[in-house]
Amino acid sequence: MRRHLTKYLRIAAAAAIAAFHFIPIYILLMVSFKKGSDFSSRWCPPSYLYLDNYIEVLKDGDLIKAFGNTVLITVCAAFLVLFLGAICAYPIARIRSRLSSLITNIVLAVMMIPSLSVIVPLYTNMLGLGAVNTYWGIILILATYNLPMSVFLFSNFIRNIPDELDEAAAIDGCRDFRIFFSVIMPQLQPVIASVLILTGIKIWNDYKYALYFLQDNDMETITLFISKFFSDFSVELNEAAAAAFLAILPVCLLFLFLQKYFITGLSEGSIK
Amino acid sequence: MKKILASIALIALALAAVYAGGAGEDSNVQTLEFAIKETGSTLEAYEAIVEAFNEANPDIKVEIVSYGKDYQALMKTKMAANDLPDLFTTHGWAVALYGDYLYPLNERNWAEHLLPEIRSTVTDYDGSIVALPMDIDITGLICNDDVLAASGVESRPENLPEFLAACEKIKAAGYTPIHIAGKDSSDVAGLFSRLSLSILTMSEKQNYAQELLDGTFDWTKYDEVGSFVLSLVENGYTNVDYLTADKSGTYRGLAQNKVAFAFQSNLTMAEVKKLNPDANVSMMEIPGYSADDSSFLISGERDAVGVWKDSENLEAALVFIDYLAQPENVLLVAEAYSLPPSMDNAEVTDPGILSILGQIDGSTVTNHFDRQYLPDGMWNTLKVYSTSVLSGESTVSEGSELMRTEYERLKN
Amino acid sequence: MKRSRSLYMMSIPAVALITVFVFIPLVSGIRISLTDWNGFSQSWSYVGFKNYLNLFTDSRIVHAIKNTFYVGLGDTMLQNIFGLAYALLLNHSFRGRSVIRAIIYLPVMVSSLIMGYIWFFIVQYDNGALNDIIMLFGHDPVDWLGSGTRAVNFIMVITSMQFVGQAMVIYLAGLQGIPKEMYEAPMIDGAGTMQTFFRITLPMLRASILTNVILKLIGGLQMYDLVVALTNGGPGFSSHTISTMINYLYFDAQNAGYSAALGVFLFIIIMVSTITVNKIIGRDDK
Repeated sequence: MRRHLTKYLRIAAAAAIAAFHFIPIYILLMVSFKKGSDFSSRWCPPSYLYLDNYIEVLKDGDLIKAFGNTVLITVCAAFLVLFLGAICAYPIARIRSRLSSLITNIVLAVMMIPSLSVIVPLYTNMLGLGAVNTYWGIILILATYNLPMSVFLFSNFIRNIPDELDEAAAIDGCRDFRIFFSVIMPQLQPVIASVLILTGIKIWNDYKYALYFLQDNDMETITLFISKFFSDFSVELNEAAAAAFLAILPVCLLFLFLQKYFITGLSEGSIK
Repeated sequence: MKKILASIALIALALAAVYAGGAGEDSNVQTLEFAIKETGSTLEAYEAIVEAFNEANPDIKVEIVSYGKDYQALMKTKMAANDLPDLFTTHGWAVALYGDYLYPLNERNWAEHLLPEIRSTVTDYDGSIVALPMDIDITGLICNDDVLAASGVESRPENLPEFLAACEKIKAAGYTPIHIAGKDSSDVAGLFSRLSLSILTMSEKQNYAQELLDGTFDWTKYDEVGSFVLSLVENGYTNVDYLTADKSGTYRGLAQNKVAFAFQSNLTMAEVKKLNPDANVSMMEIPGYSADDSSFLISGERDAVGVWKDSENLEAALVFIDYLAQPENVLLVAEAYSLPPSMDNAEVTDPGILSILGQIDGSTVTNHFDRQYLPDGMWNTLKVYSTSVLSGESTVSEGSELMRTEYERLKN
Repeated sequence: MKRSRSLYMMSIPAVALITVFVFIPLVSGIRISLTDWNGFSQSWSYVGFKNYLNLFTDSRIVHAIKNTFYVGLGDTMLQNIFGLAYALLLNHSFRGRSVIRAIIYLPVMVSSLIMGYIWFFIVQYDNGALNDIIMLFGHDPVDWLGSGTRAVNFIMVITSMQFVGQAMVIYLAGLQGIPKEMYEAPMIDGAGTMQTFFRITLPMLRASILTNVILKLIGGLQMYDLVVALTNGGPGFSSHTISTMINYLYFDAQNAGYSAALGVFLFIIIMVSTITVNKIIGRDDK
């Protein structure tokens, strides 16, 4: 009896917590389905069906374009973050030397630093490289600023892979790169998932870099697209809410379908 | 795992190829970048003009880019790198901020048609016209006449004593006399700068215009502006959330007939009408200082387009600017925002604009306080001053001291 | 196993990217920090260390630094405490558990900028959802963001609420990694729930705690998007963080030299403290 009671209490508590965390999304939904002239409480659902906010946001296709841009940028940058992060981490995890700890320290520090602190000179340099308003420019920037996290997680993980595996391969005559690709890489699956989840979301949701380095409207990403709706000059809060909801919908759906992988991936790789 | 990585790489490459393929362009066409700050109906007007231009000029392609609210920040990074768009809108800062980067337009045929009120605001100290203004920005206060009537205020206040009396009545009737959107520091600065004109430069009794211009102004006198605004707050004439409200809050308050006055530009009227087409909001003149003083309006630059002087496509950009200066195009942009056009050859038929022209006719018109009396770069100081004084971070006299030091630093 | 130094070849691409996009700009940043450059004009002059000296006497900057560390440390604590509590709760299996886990994790997927705008709908004075509730109980509405201290606390709580799901998931994994047998021995000894928690669970979660602390600290120290959307640094200058302050100084105050000095100062402070912390933890690890 007592057992049952604690069980129900637990479910109730969990449900209450979930409801609490759902409030922002709920409010967003309510606002997005209301007319601008509807001043009723944001808790109350509208008493009418009103889809104009969504139609207005979708009608010129810019959201779809922004979505395509964001997918392109995220996929490329995430690939770089994974690949370069993994190969960078291997030597620093395997060699104990001053150089390794120097690289580790640099990586850790860069991870912590507010990236805005170098935005001014960075912009000037990017311009010199002809990298402003190019996909490769933003991809490299986003990859660079997410690399530290990747190197950090990969090197922690690789340290826990027994060195004997490498040795066995070396005895078989494999050279360094072969060892990495044939022995280490297959072991990395869980941490790849973690890195992908942690940095992929950051890249997808990036606002600061896209703001400065992608000024061409044809290249704008989803966050930029949304921020325009909340611009100082406009009052279309309801449309903005609809746009925001449409923007988070795909990632939320993706998450819901892949939830299992998300959670196991994030957990296995990040706590080793 | 290799497979996963390889397939990600493949997808990336494929996507990149698709995008690269789409971006290929005809090399004979000169492409001009035209950066626009304005959004909404003004942007739509520019888009219509650009579309017509591109059709008529197959060898020039004008591309509009709109940076939204971060426009100014982005333009500054571009100025820092000396790499500006070929054409861009100057949003009130043609001379002060962008002047050094703009190509002088005095020689263009349309220059002689510019109305004198606006010609002076886009002319720099050397006498160069640095931008093509499209309209004349006329501002005062935004006022909701229904709220005034419901509170028993019979006529719009013409001077500050009347204004305070009206506020008292409005408050007593349960409405909010003044809405301040304090989340936006430029809104607060707009309030201070309008009242600075009333209190310091537009009055017959107390007039420091000359001192402000020649640099002999005693900044302790500025305390009166700060104290006046604080008294509005202390007397409960402002919205409760005067520090945190955003402009959409002002729009909602006016649209719901809860708010009487807002120290904002004419854009507010259009936005309020979107929320409530029946709202009786309109522009009124800014009250004068004392009972003997009369009210006045502010005129300035709003929509203006400049050409980057180092543009590689200067000739093409000038072709476009001349096209933009045609009376029908000027009118299109001006009407988008219900403002009088900048050229004497553009014929106004819009009743709203005609009524604004009528309003200007009988009244005193002056330029913005900061653009007229303060050195370049001081608009920002005014923003800092306004938000610090309003939030109580600085006292009124500390605020005036800040204004003095910055005024002296920037003046030299 | 003995390694040849040539293995470091594999680190080169990543190190090169970090050099080009982080360290070279940092060096230019140091140069800018010694000037009075306004951020856009073509002319400027060197002013020595004046910008750095001004940093320490500027109360707005000191306040922004305090806010950043307050939010950074505060949200690290909140997220770890609540993340762990949620994980303990959801570690028990019951129906609907995965739905609840998903809902708590979902906000992590949303951009902080959008989250900030959504929260503005909630905490706004006029028509805000929170005030609707307050008024339901007969209280007067409150201007939640009207005081700087309260605004900063809101920023801390909102960011914690958004990202607590991430901490929770990492703790859940940690909990699942604790072998069942570990709990059996003390059970026999008759240890209470609390004692088990402190003597077994917590020490076994060391790796999860470390990961979470690092992740959350990064998030907190970089705080930018949420502040922009929620308070824009106000009222006055009371809720600025270092990132929003750098942005403000550069673009609004037209004081790029000063802005760069703040950036460089911060870069060095964080670099030094991270390396120190890493030394301490690293030694412990081996």
